[in-house]
Amino acid sequence: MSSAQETILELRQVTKRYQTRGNILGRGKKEVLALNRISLQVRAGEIFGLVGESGSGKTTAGRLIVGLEKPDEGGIFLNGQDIVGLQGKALRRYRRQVQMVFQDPYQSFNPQVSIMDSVGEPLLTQGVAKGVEREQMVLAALKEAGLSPAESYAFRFPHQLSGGQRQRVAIARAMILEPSLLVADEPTSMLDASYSAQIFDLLLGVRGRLGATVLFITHSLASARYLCDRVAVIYRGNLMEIGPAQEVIRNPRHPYTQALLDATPKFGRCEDIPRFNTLLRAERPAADSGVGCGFFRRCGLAQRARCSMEAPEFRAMGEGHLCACHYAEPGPAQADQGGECHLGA
Amino acid sequence: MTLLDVQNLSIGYQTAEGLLQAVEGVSFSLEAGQSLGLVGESGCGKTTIGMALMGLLPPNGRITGGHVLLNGRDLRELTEEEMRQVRWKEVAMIFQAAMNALNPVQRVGDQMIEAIVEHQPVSKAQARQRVEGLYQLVGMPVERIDDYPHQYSGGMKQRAIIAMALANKPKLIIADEPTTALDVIVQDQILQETKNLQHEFNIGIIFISHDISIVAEVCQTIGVMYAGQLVEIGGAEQVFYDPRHPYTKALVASFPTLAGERKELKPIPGEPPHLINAIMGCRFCDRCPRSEAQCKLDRPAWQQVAAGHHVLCDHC
Repeated sequence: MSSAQETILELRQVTKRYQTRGNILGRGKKEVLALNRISLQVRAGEIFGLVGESGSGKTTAGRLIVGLEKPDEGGIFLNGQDIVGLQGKALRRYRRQVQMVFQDPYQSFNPQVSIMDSVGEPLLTQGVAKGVEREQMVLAALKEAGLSPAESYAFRFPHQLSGGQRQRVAIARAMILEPSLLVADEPTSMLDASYSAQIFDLLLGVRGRLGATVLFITHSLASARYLCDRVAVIYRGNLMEIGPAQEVIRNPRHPYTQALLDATPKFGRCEDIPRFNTLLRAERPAADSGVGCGFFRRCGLAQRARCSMEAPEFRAMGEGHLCACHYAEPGPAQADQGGECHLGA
Repeated sequence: MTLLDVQNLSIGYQTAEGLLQAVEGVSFSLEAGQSLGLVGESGCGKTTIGMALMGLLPPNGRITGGHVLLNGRDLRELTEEEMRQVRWKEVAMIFQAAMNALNPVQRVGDQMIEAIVEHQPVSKAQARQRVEGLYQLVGMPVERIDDYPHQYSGGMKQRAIIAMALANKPKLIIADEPTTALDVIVQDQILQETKNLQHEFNIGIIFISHDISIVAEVCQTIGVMYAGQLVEIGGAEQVFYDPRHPYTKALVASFPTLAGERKELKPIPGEPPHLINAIMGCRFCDRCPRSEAQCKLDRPAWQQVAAGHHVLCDHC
């Protein structure tokens, strides 16, 4: 599995800022730091999870990676090539390698376009196939996405499909150009649990059969735990913890990841799972903006003198497990309890 | 004391295609101060039950059979005016995406004061005092009373809605996916808050959700719904440790576990039946790994599998 270790996607010190609009006179404009010097590497063939709450910047990261927006600073590299400045033909070639599945299956389709034409559109715009050949490829892609018999779906319109079926169509559309990287932004957050499980299986198949790399953006530790090889946890634009999915979720070292696990609803045999209680009930007043730890205001472990003044560096907590916290310590792995404790979405 | 007793409740919607039987033969009861969770996937009828309990079914919906007894009084026999008195005062509801239920051009506090003055013989000043108390109760800063809804975060709007549901001290609250749009940390805080308030004021709660884990955090009794019917009901531990109905088993297995081997999740194949057609036998049989020829023909009967734990399945 040497190929599994090659880096396919790299973010190097990526920063993105947004301006809020302010009032009608342009007063009260604020700058929001959506991503703060994010660096990470995704390996070819893995499913990499980017986990965060709303406002964490995880969707912004996805949009930068597929080229829908540009970072203010830093570089994004696919197979070693910087994609930030791409234009024209080069950008189009890039789009063929990187595709995206969006969160809302009810808004990501044109209601007046049939499934056949929706899924087949990338083939036309990229000049890959047309006519009968195109139809054959669409049918094959629908079948691959678990919609069979494909013929019975191809000539329907989006409103005739359920949410789960639409998300399958979205994956078929994204995969029809056989991209090397699929960015999936919360593809199951609007689906019921049993349909989510179907989409997870499909994504595992996309990686397994087609050899694609998947960047899976999610708010849910449960789905990251099920689907991902490695995860990065992000909070208000700052990377907090990164490592093997099992390890980070079962033995979180960063107080923020610990707070996320505490808050995740659970059922089944969960009485052995300890609570970390790392979250402050009320936020602290802000430290001087820009310096210090991004989690300072909510963190129960923070010491003002250090955490408000000095940004924590990543330190190793275990094999490939990094954590950006001054006070995190590598500890003994939790015994393997939790095998029958189910996590909610 | 039994607060709510639902017996054999059936609810239908008149549609262009005919009568859609959204809920059929559902029975459960709730003691004062206890909590019952109704779980099931989209279209299983759980929200319809909540709306019926509030007397808020849409115009094409009606109760086609059964009884709903609140403190021994049958809600079906009340006039619209009597129902209006019951609503919010005795039964309050926290709607799905309730944060959008606030009026955007009226201060949040004023909306709550109005809701109180409408139902209680109190002055505006007294009502305002009560609203201040409610804000403290649900963990919101009192100085935010005079803000408009857009100045609140999602979590704060949801807390305001919970405060409003509590405003008239109801004995029963129906919460329909009250935390769906919120982040997990805020969700956790609101669920804990809800539990505390429930104990403090001895409120009965019916908690409706598609997410088993959320219901498990709050409720003592769990009812699992499928295609308009209750298919399993029991204590939370019984239903989640030892699910018996094949649908409940599949639903539980579609949530990942925290540790251990990455077990294959078991997606449930197929889709629920269309309720416009009359269904003779078991409604789950087409998707059930254990179904036999007879399941399609015979209406399944309730079986007791343990004390207080019942399943609607002939083969469990």
